[in-house]
Amino acid sequence: MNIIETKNLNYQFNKKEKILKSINLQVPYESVYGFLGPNGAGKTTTLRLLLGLLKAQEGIIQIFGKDLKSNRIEILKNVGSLIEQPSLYGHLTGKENLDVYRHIFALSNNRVKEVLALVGLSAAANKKAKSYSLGMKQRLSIGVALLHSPKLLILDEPTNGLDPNGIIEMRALIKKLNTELGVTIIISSHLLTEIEKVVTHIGIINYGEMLFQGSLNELNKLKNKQASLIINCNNNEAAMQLPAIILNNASLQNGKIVIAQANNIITAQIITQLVNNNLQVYEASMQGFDLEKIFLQITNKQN
Amino acid sequence: MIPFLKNLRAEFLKTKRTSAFWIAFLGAGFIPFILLIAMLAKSKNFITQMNNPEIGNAWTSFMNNNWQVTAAFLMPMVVICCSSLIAQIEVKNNAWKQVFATPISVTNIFFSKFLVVLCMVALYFILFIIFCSLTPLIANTFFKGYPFFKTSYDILYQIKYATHFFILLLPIMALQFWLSMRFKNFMASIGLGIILLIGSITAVGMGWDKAYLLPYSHTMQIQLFSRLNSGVNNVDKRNTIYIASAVYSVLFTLAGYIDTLFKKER
Repeated sequence: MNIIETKNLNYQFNKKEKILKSINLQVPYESVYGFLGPNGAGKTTTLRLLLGLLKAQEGIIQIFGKDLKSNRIEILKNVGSLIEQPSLYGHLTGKENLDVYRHIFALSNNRVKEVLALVGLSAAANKKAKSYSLGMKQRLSIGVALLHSPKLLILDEPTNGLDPNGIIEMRALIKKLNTELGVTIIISSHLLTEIEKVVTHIGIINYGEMLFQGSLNELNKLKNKQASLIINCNNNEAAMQLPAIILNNASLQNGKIVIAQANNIITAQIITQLVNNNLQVYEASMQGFDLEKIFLQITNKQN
Repeated sequence: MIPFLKNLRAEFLKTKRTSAFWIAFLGAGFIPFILLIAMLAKSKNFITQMNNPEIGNAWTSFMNNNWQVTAAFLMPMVVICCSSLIAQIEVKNNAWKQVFATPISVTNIFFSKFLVVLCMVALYFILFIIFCSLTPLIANTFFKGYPFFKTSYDILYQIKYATHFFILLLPIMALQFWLSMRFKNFMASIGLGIILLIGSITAVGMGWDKAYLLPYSHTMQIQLFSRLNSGVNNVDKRNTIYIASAVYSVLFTLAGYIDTLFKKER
């Protein structure tokens, strides 16, 4: 069951260039969905469409199983968002910023205190938002997004501009919201390493096209498929003549033997032949593609 | 109605510590403060003037002078700045997208914000009347020759005066509000407002017979026609200005609302 589902979502700012091409986004309930793509891939446009900040031109957007066009206000009651930079009133304090939205959602004063504690800003509640560091601003923005206890949180590049500590804090907060409060989170980023530790599902977009979408397990399978065996022995040229190596299309790269898509059986066969032929094996390692490499490979394939 | 009131409360909170409030405060206090200095420094002249039986009621005469001095330029300027700065709170803080991502209708967002503009201008008038009323009282405390303690003061007359000006300023509020919702740089809407104001004042000064078409000069024109207070013709001219003002108010408010409603990108 998906909390967000888009069908053939197309968008263009002008007639010449299509920003989104038939995007079929599927975000499962209670997942942390990493929406990845390089800058300008179409992530923010997609997220703005999901919030009704841009009017959909073609395609269907369904959130909580309801059509966004005809149920926008009802849907937004259960959606929290942070789009690009923090949207805070610098002349108001952290608490007053939350009070603005507390009035809109008719919430109690206690809820503001709870949220300030949740995002770790209780001590800075009475300081003006303009004096906050970027990390504090991002946390307060997440506080704004969380204030009305939404079931769905849409975060567009929430780690942008944060220092490593800020990124770690943000990841911990996202994990906590998802596991403890059951909030479904869609989080966009152009850096896979920043979010691969928290996401359960991933969608990769580039040039407005969805290149991959699935669970982290599915991506891991792809990762195993893409893994290579690296061999380094005392005579790599001689080793290249062995049947097990020839059969598996090995190549010499940087003085080492590289065998693409080598599974465990192939690895065992190759090592046995090397040993039987009195070759001394210095290194036999699987160079698995990490997610970053897969991301780069998928996005570069399109360029 | 309830979502509108909730959002209105939020909109009022957003104006806390903003320059819009201070412009209303300082704009209201500027002329009374200058007059207070003058009434203290040149007390002899002012006491003679205020005790002259030809001026009638000293309070009414003093208050009318204040309205006249402020009506042509300062009053529209305060309105231009307040209207522009209130809509600009969102632009300056990059908050429009957050506002439009809340479960509030565009109608609610537009009119609650516009109502805040109207309230801010109303506050300006309230402060103006308070400051103008305090000025003679302070002067009279220091110089007993002033007649204000023993002269009757008609507050209802002042409220009526303020209401008339408020109505005449509605087109400026509506247009400036719309412009500042449209332009990302608040200097564009304020700059355009100042150009329209100066252009309108110049047109009135040059005696253009269709000057009633220029909403930025309506407060100035009303003052002129009130001062020349004679003949049916002036009454007709005043009525034409009030009608033009009402038409422009509706027109600019609707244009701003429709423009916001059908905006493709928020």
